[in-house]
Amino acid sequence: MDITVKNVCFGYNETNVLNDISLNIKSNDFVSILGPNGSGKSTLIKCISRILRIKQGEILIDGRNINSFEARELARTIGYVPQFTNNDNNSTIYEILELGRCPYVNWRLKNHDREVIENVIESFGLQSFVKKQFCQLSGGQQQRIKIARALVQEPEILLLDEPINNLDIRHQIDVLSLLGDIVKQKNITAVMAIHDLALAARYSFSVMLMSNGRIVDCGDPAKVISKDNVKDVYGVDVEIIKHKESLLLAL
Amino acid sequence: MESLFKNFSLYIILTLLLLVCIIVSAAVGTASVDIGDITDVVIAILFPFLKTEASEFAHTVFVELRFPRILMAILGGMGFAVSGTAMQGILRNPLVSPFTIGISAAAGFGASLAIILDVGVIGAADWFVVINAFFFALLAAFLVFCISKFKGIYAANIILAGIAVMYFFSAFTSLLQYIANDNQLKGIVHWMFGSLSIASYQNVVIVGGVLLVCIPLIMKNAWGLNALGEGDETAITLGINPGRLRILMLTLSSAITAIIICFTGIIGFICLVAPHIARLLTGNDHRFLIPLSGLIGALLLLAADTIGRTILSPVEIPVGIVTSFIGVPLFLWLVITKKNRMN
Repeated sequence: MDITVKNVCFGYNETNVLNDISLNIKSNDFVSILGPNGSGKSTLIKCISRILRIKQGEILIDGRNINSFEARELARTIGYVPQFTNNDNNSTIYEILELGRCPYVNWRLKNHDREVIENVIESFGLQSFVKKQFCQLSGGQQQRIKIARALVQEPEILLLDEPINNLDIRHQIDVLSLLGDIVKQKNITAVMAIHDLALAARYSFSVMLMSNGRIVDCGDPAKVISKDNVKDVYGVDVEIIKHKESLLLAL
Repeated sequence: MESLFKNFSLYIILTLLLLVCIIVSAAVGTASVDIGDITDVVIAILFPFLKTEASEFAHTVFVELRFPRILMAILGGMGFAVSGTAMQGILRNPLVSPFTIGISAAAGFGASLAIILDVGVIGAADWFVVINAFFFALLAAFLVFCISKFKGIYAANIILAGIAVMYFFSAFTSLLQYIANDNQLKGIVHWMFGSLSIASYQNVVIVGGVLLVCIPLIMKNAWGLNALGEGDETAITLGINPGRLRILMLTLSSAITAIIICFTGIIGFICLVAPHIARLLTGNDHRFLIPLSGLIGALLLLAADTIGRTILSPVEIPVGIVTSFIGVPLFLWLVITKKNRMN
């Protein structure tokens, strides 16, 4: 499904965090939203997921305004992976995955719901985890569980708020390549807010660069992550070195 | 499927325990009416055609005194436990209960006010206390709602508003106690202890009616409560409206708590301990947690009341004191041994 954002403004108080944002994300794209702290990345993700209700402009999914979606209907369309979760959560992994079926069930989980959960468990290799409690897992494992829970919702759009924060390089790569595979296999559209320019360039299909609540540039990672853009947005002088499919930022 | 079996067996075991507790509670007491007499009475009531001989005295003790009290203990315990579970669910905090947000303090104030004003109509005075306690309990919930609405219906705001409301009404109650005469003071203190001694079928029907409406409505939102456990943001993206759910649960659990304590006075700890025990046994899925918690609450309150009216017989210890005596060590034990499943 494609996402269209038209002239969206949003502010928590008087000052706008998002300033007249318009963008278009094509179906089956894997987009990284880049930008300095406070540039509005997370806010944009939260507006698209309708956690925050926009006051100006409109957000369309396949041409349909998200405000016309019923809450459960939207939950079946968009899966959201939050940046922060309760780390003391003592629910078992299975209980958390079951929650992903919340928008589909009224009381009892049907056989189909169990199948969906089992499939996600299998594809994420979580068989040995299901009875463990969330708080007993490491940060990287917790991140995988959060993504798995969102996929149990069978969404067509996956929104992620800084999914690789606090992870080591190994787990960062794991999570990002997992996301890339999901987008390709399940035919979904993924949008994530992320800080790491090099990893965003390496794993996402396209990137958007934000600054002060506006989109500065978007498109192919190699084009957007340029010496000039980095200088403009972050105020940092870097040399960009290309190595095979990767970009390296040299200070 | 495995969890369904586990929960099913838990229900069976607890229901059996509750039955045992009912039988024991019916058979013991200050009046010398034992299990044999009670059996005769029950058989005489259930199967009148058998023409079983039951003593008039045993009949009165069971039908008029012990049985309504047993029913009230079961309903009260169940109601306290379920409303505690719902509150802990919406506030994501295992330490809150309807009492910590000021409902009991307000009910106490309402009852004290009624006792001090003393309408003086013979027979109506009791009802005046009940209605006043109920009214102020709901007023407290409404105040908590309004204050937190002002800042946003989030867990922390509700808890802070609740604590403020609790201190507000406690201060007023202290003031009333200060200006009360000896007789009134005795009445207030007695009410505050919490007791099931005035249980009647009429009260049981009223409490039962409220539970019959409120508990299914709470159960219906079990998935919502589960989703809230993951935080507001995730809950929204799972199709839940956290603000609306909090208001609904706050209203229902306040109504349950208010209707029970207006008849029994303040009985603490059931609404705090029962959900904890239930969570240790079954986990965080509210679909199983709510009924289990209700059963445990019923069991705890019935056991506490039975102990209270027999341990120093013929002196009766108010059940509110017993639940605290049993509840505090139990609670501390749960906190200290803090197994994996505890929050």
